[in-house]
Amino acid sequence: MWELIVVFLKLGIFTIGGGIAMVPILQDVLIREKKWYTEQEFVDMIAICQSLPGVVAINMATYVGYKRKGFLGSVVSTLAIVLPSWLIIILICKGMAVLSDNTYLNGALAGFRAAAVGLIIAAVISLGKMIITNAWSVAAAISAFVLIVFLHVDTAIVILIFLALGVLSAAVNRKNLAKAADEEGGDR
Amino acid sequence: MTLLQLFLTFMKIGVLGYGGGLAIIALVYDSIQQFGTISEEQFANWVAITQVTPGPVGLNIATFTGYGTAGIIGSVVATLGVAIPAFVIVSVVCKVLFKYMNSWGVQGALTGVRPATIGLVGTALVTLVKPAVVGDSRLGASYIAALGNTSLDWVAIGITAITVYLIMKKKMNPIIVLLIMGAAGAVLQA
Repeated sequence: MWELIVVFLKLGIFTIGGGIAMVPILQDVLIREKKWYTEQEFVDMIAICQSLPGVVAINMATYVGYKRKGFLGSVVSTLAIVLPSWLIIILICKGMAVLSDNTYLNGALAGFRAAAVGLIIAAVISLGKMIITNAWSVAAAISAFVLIVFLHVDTAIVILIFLALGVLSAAVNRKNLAKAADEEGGDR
Repeated sequence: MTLLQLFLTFMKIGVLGYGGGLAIIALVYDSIQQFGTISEEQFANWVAITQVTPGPVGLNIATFTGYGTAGIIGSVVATLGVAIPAFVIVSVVCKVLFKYMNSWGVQGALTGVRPATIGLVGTALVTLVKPAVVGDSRLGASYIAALGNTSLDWVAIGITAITVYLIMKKKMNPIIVLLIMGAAGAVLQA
């Protein structure tokens, strides 16, 4: 339980930008450090959390907490991710004028942001190596990117489309397998 | 009364706000008009700040708006309001999903969506890159001004490149890399 609290407090502090910016750190902790998830399970978690309504960061905290320690785990993780950002914003509200004029702080935040971009690039490459294995998956990754960035299709809709395609192809495969098994049986 | 309204408003945002982060900003702006205490300029400032400060954008914006409307209690109420629906929905979905995780339907769906998820994570780059390595979005700068400026920031590009190198080749801990780059940014840009 403590592990969950520490992990999500850290994420609450070091996530710059939206929920997806959590991915690189979460990846490092869950896959490499704690070994709670395989790459595939990790990507499944992202897909499921993105396809559900709500703030993605909360979705991920709830999901990971629930999978690890059930209901209580999800409560603890969610509170842990909320707390740091709440505190930081309150501090900013209280001392906005002082903070926004501090060049060192501004420089540090700019450094954070640029590094966050690098972290996500690294996450895309390392997860991509595991998941993108054939022509279909290359096409799927590129078309998801194009649909969201250039055609402005809602992220959740893009995910639902690919979930549906996955079910469809699984259903077709099952049918083919059943057919093949039938024909084999007929030969005997 | 205001507190209850604040809670319900952010609960609605929590339910309707698909995709999180920047996707919910327009929704938040429309929803808070009823409180009538926040100007467009002030809101744009908050959005700019939430993008560069630690913590998920969706939560930050809720905290800001709640604080601006009803002080500290307002910020707690708004933050919980936005968090609770997501929490409930995901808990219920997890309960059902983990039970059927090995069925052909769930496995098929996940197999279909995995590569798309990679593309999706990539899209976060577009929203992050704009204020981070293109132009200047200092704390408190207006959101529009931040997006309008297109001069390339070579220091930021350098930091990004070194980060990728340290993570991919040196397998360094991402939090340590973030701290180093934050320090570098403080020194270089001051």
